[in-house]
Amino acid sequence: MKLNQFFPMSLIAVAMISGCSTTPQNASLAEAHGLYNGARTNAEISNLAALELKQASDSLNKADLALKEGESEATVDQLAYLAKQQVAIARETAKRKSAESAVAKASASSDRMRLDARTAEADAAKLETLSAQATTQRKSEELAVAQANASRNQRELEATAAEADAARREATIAQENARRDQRRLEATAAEADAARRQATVAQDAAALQAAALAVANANAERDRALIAQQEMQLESLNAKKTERGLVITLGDVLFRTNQTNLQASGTRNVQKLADFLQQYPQQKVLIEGHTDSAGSDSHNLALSDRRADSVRTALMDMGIGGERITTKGYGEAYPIAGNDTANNRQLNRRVEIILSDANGRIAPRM
Amino acid sequence: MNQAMQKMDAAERAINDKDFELARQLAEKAQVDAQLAAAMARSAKANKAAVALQEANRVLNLELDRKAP
Repeated sequence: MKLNQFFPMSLIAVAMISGCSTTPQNASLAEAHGLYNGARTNAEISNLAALELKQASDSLNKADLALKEGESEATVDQLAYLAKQQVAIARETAKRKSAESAVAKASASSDRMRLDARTAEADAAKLETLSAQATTQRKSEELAVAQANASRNQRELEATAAEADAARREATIAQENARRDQRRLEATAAEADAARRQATVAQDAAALQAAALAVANANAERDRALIAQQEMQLESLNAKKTERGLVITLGDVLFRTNQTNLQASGTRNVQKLADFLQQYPQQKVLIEGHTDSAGSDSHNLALSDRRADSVRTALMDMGIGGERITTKGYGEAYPIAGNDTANNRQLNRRVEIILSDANGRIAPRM
Repeated sequence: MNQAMQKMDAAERAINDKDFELARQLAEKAQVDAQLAAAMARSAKANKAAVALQEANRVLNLELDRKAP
């Protein structure tokens, strides 16, 4: 088994030795073969310097052929030298092409680096532009939004102001309505009050009228009674109705001749008059004294004065106030009959008592 | 390149010596040496350019990074 294991290896070794041995030994040629094999197995050299390697291979084949055909050692050495140098040329050519390729690559690389840098700059600039545009766009949108908001706020404000105005107008109208209603109410109340007052007044007036009527009726009754009584009294006083009112004449017989004192019968008449005046305190009296034409005027005037005063004194004695009694002596100035006979002269010697009206007025003598 | 020039000088000398076989061999060697020298020079130049560009890119990158906020 052990022998079998090693057998293939020894076969290979024998084959290699025989391969070498198939070509007659030449140190230069062997060296050239070694160099050539090293170059051929180098991927860079076989790829980049195929032509130079082929020339080296041709020279090696020529050298191998020369050695095989037993040509001179110088010839084999010559061909081996050429091959060796051609391998070196191939190596150098490969190195050159590799370097040139590196140059091209480096040049491309630098171009790409510059391009990349430019592209990056351009990209950055573009990005910046885009960012600026985006910022501008955003700012613009924000501005639009702000403007829209402002506009909306403005509109809301205007709407609110309009609402407030409307509310104010409504309030004003409502106030005016309320005031109008109030005025109407007051007017109605005033009318009602007025109507009530009128009714009251009418009622009062009716009551008053009724009362007045009753009073008037009563007064009329009383007046009628009083008038009847007065007339009866006046009749007993022999009062005569004249233009100046009621006149009571006290005749000469009631006085003593040429005397001023009343006789008893005269006193009775005066008493009746005093009773009457006490009953009617508003009434006043004017007492006029008259004489006949016998005797001097001055004597007759004094006599008439004294007789009138005598009646006044008698009335005052009977309790009649002096302020209600006026006296006047006329002497013989106003005769009521001719002074030609004794009877007529007696008629002229008299005292006339004029009664005032109910208000105390006495018509003066004409 | 020095090797190529020395080989070319040797080849010319061989021509003068009427050793045309040697001259051919030397000329072939000089040609391939010169080709190798040219390839090396071009590869060195390319490598130098690549290194310079890579350095410039590094600086540019730093600058851009610093410029970026």
